[in-house]
Amino acid sequence: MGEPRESTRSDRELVDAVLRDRDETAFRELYRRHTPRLFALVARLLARGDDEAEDVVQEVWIHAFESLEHFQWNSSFATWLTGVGLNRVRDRIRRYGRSRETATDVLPEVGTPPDSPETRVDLERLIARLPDDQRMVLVLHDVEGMKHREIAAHLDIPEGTSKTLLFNARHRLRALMLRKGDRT
Amino acid sequence: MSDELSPEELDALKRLPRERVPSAGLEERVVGSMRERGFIAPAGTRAARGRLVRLTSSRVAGLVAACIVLMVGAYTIGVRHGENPVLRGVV
Repeated sequence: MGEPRESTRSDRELVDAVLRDRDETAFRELYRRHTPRLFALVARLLARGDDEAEDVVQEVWIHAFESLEHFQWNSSFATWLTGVGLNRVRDRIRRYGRSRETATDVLPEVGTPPDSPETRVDLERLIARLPDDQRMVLVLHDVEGMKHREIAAHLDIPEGTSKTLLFNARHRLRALMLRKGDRT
Repeated sequence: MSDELSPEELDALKRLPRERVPSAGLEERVVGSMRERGFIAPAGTRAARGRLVRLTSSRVAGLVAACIVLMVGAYTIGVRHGENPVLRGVV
């Protein structure tokens, strides 16, 4: 195991090493390269706390390697992994619906040092309070910078629905911000 | 529109961190699951590398197709031998 080392190997070389040699070191390199991004996205989309987000990230890696034979390398490995992650998040939300604790009660934990901790935690908390479908579109569009076309393809919804969900999500987020402002 | 997000608020969304490190235990859990499923070799067994052939859906389909071809081939040969008196005489 040991500390992560700088590697010059490309994702494809690492994936090939895992598939060909079942190389654990190559897999750990891939894991360390892509998991922080994947975990942040999954945790924010699910908004049900870190334990559940970690379960989903574990599922993503396993599912990714189970279906790697279908990956044609037309996109980057990171993009493909994000797609697998989005599918797992959607499945989880569909299967289990809202978590026992409602999203309103779950405060996403804070990650790396922020510019303005309070503002950021508040914003994360408010995003977590949005309905699942609105939150997913808002995070993908406004945080991740995806286009409606990409969101529609990932979430298997019409582009128009993606736009409507974003409008409603922003509207709701704005209302939550105002309500919070009134209380303080 | 008053209830739209302001440029500052949209900017705050864009600046949310896009990376977070999960708990240290997750890496071991994921590696353990990958090992259980045969995607990576058991720890310290370099010799075992590459020996295990994983059964993927395409490999299973290939095996089934090969079995069917063999069975049909054997059956066809059997039928033709039964019909051909010369061959029957030979056998």
